[in-house]
Amino acid sequence: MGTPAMTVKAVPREITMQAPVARCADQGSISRLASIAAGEPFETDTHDAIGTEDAVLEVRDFKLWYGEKQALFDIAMNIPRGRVTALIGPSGCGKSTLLRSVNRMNDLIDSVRIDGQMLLSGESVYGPEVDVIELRKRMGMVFQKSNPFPMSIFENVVYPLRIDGIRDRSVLEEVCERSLRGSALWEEVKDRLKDSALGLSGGQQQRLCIARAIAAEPEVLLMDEPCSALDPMATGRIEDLIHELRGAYTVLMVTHNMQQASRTSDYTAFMYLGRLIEYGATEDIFLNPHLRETADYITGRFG
Amino acid sequence: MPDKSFTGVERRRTTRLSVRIIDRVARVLITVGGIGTILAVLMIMVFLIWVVVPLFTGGEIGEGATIPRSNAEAPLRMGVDEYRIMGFLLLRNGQIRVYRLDTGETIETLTPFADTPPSSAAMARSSPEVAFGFPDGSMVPGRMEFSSRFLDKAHVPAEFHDMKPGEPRRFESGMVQKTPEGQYRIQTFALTLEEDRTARVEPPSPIVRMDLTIKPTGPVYALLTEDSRILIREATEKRNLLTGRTRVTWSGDEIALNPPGDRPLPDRVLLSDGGRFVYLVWRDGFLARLGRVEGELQIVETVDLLRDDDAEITALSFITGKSTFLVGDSRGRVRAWFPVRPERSGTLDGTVLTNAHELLTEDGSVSPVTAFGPSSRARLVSVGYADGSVRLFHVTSGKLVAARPTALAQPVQTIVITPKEDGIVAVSRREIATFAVLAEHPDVSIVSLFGKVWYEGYPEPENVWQSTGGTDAFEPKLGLVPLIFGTVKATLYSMLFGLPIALLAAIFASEFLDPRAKSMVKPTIEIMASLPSVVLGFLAALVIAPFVEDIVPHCLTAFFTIPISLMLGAYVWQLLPRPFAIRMGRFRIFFMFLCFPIGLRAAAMLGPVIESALFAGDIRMWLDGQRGSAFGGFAFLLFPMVGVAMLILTTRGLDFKLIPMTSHLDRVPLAVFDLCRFLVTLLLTLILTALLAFILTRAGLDTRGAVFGTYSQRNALVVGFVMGFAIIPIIFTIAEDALSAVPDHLRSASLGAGATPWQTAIRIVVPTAMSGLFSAVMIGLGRAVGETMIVLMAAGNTPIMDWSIFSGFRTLSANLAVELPEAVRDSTHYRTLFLAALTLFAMTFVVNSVAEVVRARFRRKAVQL
Repeated sequence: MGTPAMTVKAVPREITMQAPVARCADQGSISRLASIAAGEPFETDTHDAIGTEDAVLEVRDFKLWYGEKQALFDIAMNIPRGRVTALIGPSGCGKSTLLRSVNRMNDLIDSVRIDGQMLLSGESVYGPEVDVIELRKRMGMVFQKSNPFPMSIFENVVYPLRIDGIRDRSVLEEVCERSLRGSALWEEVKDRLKDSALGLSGGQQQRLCIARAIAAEPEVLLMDEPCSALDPMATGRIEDLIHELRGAYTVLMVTHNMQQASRTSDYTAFMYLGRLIEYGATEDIFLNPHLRETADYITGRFG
Repeated sequence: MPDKSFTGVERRRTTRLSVRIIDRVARVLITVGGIGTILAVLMIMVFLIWVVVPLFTGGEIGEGATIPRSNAEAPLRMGVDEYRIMGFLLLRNGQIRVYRLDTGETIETLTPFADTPPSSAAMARSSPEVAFGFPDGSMVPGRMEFSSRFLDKAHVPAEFHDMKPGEPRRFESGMVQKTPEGQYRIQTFALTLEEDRTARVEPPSPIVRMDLTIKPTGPVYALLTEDSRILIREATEKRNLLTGRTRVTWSGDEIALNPPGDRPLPDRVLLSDGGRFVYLVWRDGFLARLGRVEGELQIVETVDLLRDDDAEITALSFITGKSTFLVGDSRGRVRAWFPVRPERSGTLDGTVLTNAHELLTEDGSVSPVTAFGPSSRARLVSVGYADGSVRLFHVTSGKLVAARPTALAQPVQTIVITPKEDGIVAVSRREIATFAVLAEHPDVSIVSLFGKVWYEGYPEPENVWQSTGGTDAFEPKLGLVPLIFGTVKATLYSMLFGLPIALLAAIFASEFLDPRAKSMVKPTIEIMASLPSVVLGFLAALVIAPFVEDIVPHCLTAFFTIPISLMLGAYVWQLLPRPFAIRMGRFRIFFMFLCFPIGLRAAAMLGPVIESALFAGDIRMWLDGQRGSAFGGFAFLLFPMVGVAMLILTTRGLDFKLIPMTSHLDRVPLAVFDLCRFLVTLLLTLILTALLAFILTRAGLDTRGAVFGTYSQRNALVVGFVMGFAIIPIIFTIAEDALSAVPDHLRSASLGAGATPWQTAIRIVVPTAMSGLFSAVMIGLGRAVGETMIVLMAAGNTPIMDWSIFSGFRTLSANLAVELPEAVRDSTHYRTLFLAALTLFAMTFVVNSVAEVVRARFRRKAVQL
């Protein structure tokens, strides 16, 4: 057990490394994927467009191990402020691990060891002086499965303010309304804020979780496959919402859905076997990928 | 091949017969098991109810068997033998007629004083002693009794051989009955006069009234002579162990009666139990009580027994034990009086006669009371009225057990209850009537079991449980309230101690403890649950109780020093440099354990100081109320309350004013500031506590007699502590399971939002797990309510009603364990114990039902997770 924040128990997530299945005719691609699988170093292809943006989060040579098994290899990427960045890649490529490393949720797992650095607005995330609780207050997180608390809709939304000890009713109500409007849920629930959040539909619950995340005024909004458990209608609404959040919030999103990434994000990062393969503007990644592997993945030839 | 299956195995499309059979059998077995369990519990309840119900079925006076009577004179005394086959009548002329109860045939007539009929007579109730007073001032004691023996088979007349068992037949001067075993039992009446013990009044004067009572040393007589003297004659019998001869020495007292207001001679003289008091009673209701003050016999109290002028006393009698006497008047009222010793009496000997009960007729009839026939075993009394009606009352409960409005045609002259309480014999001018009586549990009613009852000698009605006593005249006091109180007290104090520890430990284990440490801690605590409670009780009674007795102030102080040292430790931890604190975080639990010995050491040091400062140097004497002021007790009680109030006040109100001021501070100065704030709060708490305690003390209030009281070695503190050990593992295990079952994604959401683990635990995990936590508490409560061995061994088993943490108590369960093995089957005591069991059953049933309802409500809230 490490810092006070790390004293919460959590079940370690099992990470399964998939063997690369390449059905691509291109020989170079197979050999490169094979060399990655063999653990040889790999140079990330980062597009120039990234450099023009103001980075809110800088990841530098970030490595992560689950026990003896390395899950992230030398990740280096800057997350642009006020943009939506999507992390794509096949299962087990380390997208979620990277996302959860940003707000140090991986601390909850005992066997995790990290190396390298992350800077949030220039301040270290993993420094010895960092209070994890204060760090997490600067971010919001939306999980794969909607996880509203078993309390009223209102209390769910204002939870981040509650834990900061804010009791002023008018402040809470204002934040609640703004957040719910921000997550496009206000019109649906404004008459039943006192009702249990568990009575909402799956899509509504996920939007409620987004409202709760943005109520905390996060510097970065982390989304871990926010639509994977939703039907297409609800997914559409969440995607619209993410699109609308652009500008106001920095969003770092993990997704399995290529269309979703192309529809909602400004930048896309493609990861494979714990490496960041290619990172650039979404349009470039999807239309003019520099690397053959990226093109194969996007066109569905592997992964 | 298309007809070949993909896996190569042809799957059967029908369920195998064996699977179906097993399915069916399992279903039947499970159904039988479930219904069987419910039935078993129901059967237990039905059985309990079945044993208890006869307690509440009323009594009955059966149809009378009447025999005519020739002598119209009211007999002085009447008696019936224990098999209800013969009786005697002592007439005014000294003649004794012994007769068959069924036919009225006279068996024999005794005329012991043919030439000089006695001028008065007295008879003990529960022993055969009798005494006669004569006009020449002499008094002859004697014995008058039925005796039974078995006839030698050889002496049994041939015609008796075909007797049916139980059928009475006359034989010589007695009655013979064949027992079910085939033996012949003869019942005879005998009067033996002990002429050699004759006492004389000097100077001689006719003895007009007299009474006698039996002390362990010998009989005591009270005599009233025609020349207005009261004489007490006490015979002390000493048996010479060598010769076997009994030597009697007489002692006595004598006063000339000078009753107030030119009264004639009293109409009745009564001598109470052990010759303590002589009651002189006049027909108009005036009573003078003679007692000894500083060895001198004198009138110590006068009472008007009737309180209205136009009524007069028509019947007067002691009931068993000769302490309570009944007064029947011409208006049909029966009142029971007995002496009590209240705190402020106003009489010379500190005793006051009190009218405790009034026995009312069921229909409000006002026919004069003419005769009392008290039972020699219990406080049951048969009452005869002038209109020929007969009633059966229980004096202590004031209950009318049974009534027979037209038992006799004429006014009842004399009435007796048979020795086995299975019949009543009533005599009028013309007839002698025998009634069968059914009164199995006359003393029990809902009120007597669950309400206050005015027992003999008690200054006021009280809830008492005292099922056995030293003497025959002892009345069982079967009030369940002290036992229910004891159960509630045991539960309350053990929950007060165990609940916070168990729940906080569960939260700590599930939310903060390293999973590896938890995997060791939890089974260890679960092993604690399997510790037999008899071992815990044994430890409590023989180790902890004597130990705590010596260090009461230290123990009390430890309740405060340990939490304060823990909190202080937490603040000091904040003072540590951050890198060090973060690095040492995993060892924090060991630092926490360090706080315990520090707290204990502080308690050991502060204990004597606090004892001398707050409890006048000796807490046991302070608790007795012998010295010291109420201040210390209030200080101790108020300190935690004020502390919690201050804590809430500072975190809710003050802190938000302070936060903006301190937000710019660095870590260490902030920690120093926090520490100072804690110390200031502590100081303020102390000051406020002292102030409040001072105000309450000045207001004249005292905690002694309420929460504190006289120290007894086996007390609620010890029981609470040890029973806490019994319930902590149960509550801990279930609560920990409930908390661990809360989905991790809720914790992640809360932590992701920036909540601390503590905030996550209190705001998210605990509310979500509420239904499980509630079950845990309720199961702990159920265990505490039903716990037997610990309270049996460590609670002192004194059925007193006192909230004091330093006094003992007796619980329903411990009482059952102690008394049920000794209770006579089907007796009132036995059935009342079953009622206690039923009460316990009902208590746990209610607790569990409420728990289930509340749990279901919580569950509905969390079910969608």
